[in-house]
Amino acid sequence: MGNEKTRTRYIGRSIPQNDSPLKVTGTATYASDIELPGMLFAKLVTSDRAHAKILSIDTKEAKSVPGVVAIATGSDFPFRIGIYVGDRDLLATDKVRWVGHPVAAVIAETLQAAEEAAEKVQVQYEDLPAVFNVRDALKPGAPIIHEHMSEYRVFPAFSPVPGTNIANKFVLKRGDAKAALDKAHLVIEEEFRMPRVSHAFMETQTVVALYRRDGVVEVWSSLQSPFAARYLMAQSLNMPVNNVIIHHPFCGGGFGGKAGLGWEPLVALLSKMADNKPVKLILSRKEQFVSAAVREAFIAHVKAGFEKDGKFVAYQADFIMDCGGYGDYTVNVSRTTGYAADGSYDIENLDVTCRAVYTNQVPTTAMRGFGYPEGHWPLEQLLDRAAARLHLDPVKIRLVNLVKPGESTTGTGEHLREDAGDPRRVLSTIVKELKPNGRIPESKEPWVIRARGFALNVKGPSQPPNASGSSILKFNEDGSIDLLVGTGLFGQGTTTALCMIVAEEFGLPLEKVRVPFERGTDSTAYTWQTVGSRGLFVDGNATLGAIREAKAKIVEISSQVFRVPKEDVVVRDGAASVRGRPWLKIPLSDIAMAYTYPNGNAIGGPLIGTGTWTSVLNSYLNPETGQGIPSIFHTFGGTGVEITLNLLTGEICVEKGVQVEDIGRVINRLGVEQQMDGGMIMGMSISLWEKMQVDGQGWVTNPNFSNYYIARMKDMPGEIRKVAIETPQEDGPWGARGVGEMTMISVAPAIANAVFRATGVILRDEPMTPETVWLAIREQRPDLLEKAMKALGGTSDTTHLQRPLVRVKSGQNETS
Amino acid sequence: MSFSSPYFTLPKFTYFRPKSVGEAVNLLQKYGDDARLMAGGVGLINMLKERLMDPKALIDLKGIPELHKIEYSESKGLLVGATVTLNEILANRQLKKIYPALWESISVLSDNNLRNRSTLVGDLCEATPWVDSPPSLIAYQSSVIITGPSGTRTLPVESFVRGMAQLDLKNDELVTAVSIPKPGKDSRGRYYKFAKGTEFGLVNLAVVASGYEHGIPRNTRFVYGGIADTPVVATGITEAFRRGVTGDSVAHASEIIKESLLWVRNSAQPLEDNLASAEYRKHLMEVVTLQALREVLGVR
Repeated sequence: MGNEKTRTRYIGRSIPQNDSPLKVTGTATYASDIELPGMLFAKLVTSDRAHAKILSIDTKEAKSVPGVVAIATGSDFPFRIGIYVGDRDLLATDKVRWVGHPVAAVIAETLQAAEEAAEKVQVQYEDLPAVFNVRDALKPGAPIIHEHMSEYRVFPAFSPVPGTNIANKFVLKRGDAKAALDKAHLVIEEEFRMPRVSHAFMETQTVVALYRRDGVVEVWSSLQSPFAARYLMAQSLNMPVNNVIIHHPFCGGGFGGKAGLGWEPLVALLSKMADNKPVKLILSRKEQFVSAAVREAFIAHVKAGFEKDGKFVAYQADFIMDCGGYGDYTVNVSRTTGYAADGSYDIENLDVTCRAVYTNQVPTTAMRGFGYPEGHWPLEQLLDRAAARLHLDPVKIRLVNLVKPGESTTGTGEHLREDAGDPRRVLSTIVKELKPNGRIPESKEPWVIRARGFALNVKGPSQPPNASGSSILKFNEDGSIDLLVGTGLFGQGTTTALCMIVAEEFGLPLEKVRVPFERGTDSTAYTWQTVGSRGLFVDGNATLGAIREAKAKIVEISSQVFRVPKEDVVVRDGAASVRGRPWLKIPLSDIAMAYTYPNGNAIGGPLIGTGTWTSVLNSYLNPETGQGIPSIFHTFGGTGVEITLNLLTGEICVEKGVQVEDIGRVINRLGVEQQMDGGMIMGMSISLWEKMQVDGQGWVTNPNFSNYYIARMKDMPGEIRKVAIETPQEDGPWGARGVGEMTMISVAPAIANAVFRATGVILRDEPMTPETVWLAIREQRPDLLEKAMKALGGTSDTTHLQRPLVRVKSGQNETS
Repeated sequence: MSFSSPYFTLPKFTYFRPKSVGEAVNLLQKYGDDARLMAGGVGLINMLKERLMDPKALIDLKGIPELHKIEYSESKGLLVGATVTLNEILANRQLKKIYPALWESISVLSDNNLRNRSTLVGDLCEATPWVDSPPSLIAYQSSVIITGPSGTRTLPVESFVRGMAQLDLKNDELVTAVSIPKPGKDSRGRYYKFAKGTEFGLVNLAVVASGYEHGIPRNTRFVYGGIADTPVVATGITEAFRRGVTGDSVAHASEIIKESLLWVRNSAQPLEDNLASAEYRKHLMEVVTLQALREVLGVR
């Protein structure tokens, strides 16, 4: 079992996702499809103030709407929830912290009645001074958004600072960055920013909850991690964990926004309030934008020191993350941004601080990449900037600095295992596929230039060191298998890959292995969460354990039947047989429920295999220095892009993308390629266009997909090349590492690097919208803009129009 | 401009589906300001969901056969009834040749699903700055045909649209059709939409030119969309062309370009919103104007 490169039946092949048929026929059941007898509907009443004391809530008129059953307000639920810092109220108590903060919830017999009544709930506020950006929130005397922080429950790895707006502060220290910067040949100091963005999943958050009269709570929810939701919910409702059942129907996208705990406890308590009738809450798109959590915004002030040969000797970075009204998951994003700020480079001197800071803005949470897109945005641009200043090739400077698995230690002091991956091969593959220094075709219009750029990435799951997973494998009468795993299913394809592993190991046709799509915490195996690209690694390893156990039982039974030593029994092609004597063979269907001898005696019993997996290497990080082992693996990869840039309008089009990841071993090639396509497109959309806009009073002014633009079909790159490198990791399932999030991380810096290489223009802010790029060109290279305007406005003399305005050469910028 | 409702349901109203224009006018007379007309409903349903309006009566025009007509004749040009959808217009390929600017502006509007519901007249009556087709309609000198209790009147589109969501239309009148005259024989037309990374054009420009002499058109209409509450007709550019049509075409082409740009720089005052700054819009106006001028003047 494991890593041997033998001919495989399924591993490494392209298999369509097993949940596709139900999805494409419109018959998959999502949380919003759940309808229970007597079901009621909930509607939120949300704050129209950014920071205000709640003086009174008048529900009299609302209650008079026919069909209204009850109206809940914050005082009905006097406790707080949250995965890492318990700072979140179910409904605002005492005060509201952002525009959109849920203040009350109406329960009614119809959605119509609930919405009508919600409009009639009258809330009296007294405005408090509000703070909308992190720099103001950190000033002495700033309005404090969480006055009772010292009472909050805090997970050991986090350090909120009571009396301030700091929800978490993480520090990574190695060597002496200050001294090294003083001595460095080249120091680049810069500020980079990212705005709030939406996960933009297709299905908004939806919960149906039934608080049963026997004290058991059943929940059907559009979420990622049924078990984490169960545990956190039991904890917040102060009930035994097994009294909470989370059903996990199909989920229309998560991207981190449905990790941890969402609206489940609120809806459960609404059900209790409504005489134990089931209650359904569906967020509208607007509510998803302004009342639920999105990705945090940040400012990073960085200083990078380099030697003449390109050696990256010191990195000082100060990240300030705007976590909005509550910090929940973002405290861990800030920790991860901090400990991973050095990317795939060996930087001797590190001084990184990352603070998550409360503001009166929409709250934030996990999102695909989880701190790594944040860290890579500055880092990968700094390398290209340094290369240009030192007259080095961007490839060369990376070769000088890349970590060497087997030799290097990461920024947190983890000795990088020899089989961690091959970042150098990632780089050379990008060079081969992108040809960053090759001839770039000129565009037809002289004011449009073509350019190539790339960036590397690395990521591992950010999880508590003891986060574990398990798997149960049950044989059925005909030798088919039901695989019970707790990993959530929201389009990422893990369950298909797990079925492929099981089918491969037993030599069964794939259709004989099934993971139930709709699962409940009371009927499937535990796994901590479905986040961080950990699913295949953790649940895959647990499934291999289950396979081993089931195989051992099969071998035990068949060695008795064949009367041969166990070592002589092999399990393959859906049967147990004896080595060298192929005529001695029992199909698995004959063993599945008990082997029966010709005389009717039986041995064995229903075959079942169980497996578990926990990392034994991980640790908490030192609170002063950030040293320790946070990740179970690191996947190295990178992105290359060929873009066109319109110098007149600032428009960037991604014409071609190159995605390379060293994922250890390809399980499902199609799945890997789909992740690479998805990561490219999502990364492109976020880095070029997406931004939640907020006015001076804290109102989000574009809470919909008309004004918050996400990539459309017409924006797709013409080509995305996808290469999976396979450097197997010994403790990965079949040598595999995770790939889901990694594919998005380096898209943004690759695009910025392409612009920089071609024009020398530095892009510090995401998104790189046409207007921001135009402004940057006008500010940094007015000559280019002037020439472009002249070329367009030129009279009938067209001779000069044939010449390109910018000629792109390897590593250097040269203007004609 | 955002449509972003927290609600899934609609406010309560009475739904009417009259069978004739007369019946519709009667309903309008009865309900006055409490009535709303609906054709495709694309904009209306959003506004209802957002609770931006709270009508007592919703009058669906789709049951009136005479409003669902699209007719073209050499003498009268094109007549598009109030419930003709955008895709029904696009289905007629002949129109692409006759009215290229209009055709292009309709074909880039939103997506196929919406074009199946959205109507040309409905788009016009929404009177929002970012809708694509009104600048083209104005560039082709179109008129709206309005029916009310006292009969029918005709009005040029540019005076019909008075401001953001403001029309020259009484609460007992309805637009039954829009009439688009046939352009001159040598007419050229183009529609430009700058909408990278946005759903709405930051700057739209419909250009129709005809009456060419020595490669320079005598009659031109440059009509901008997305830059103000209503479409903006570039009178300065029309004038520049008119003056330019004498003598040597090459020399005058550069003069026309210079004067046209001067009009954009000095006279245009684009709006600022969460899609773009006024400054950027003005720059885009210059770029798109230059592109259009090259096209109209045949500079490649």
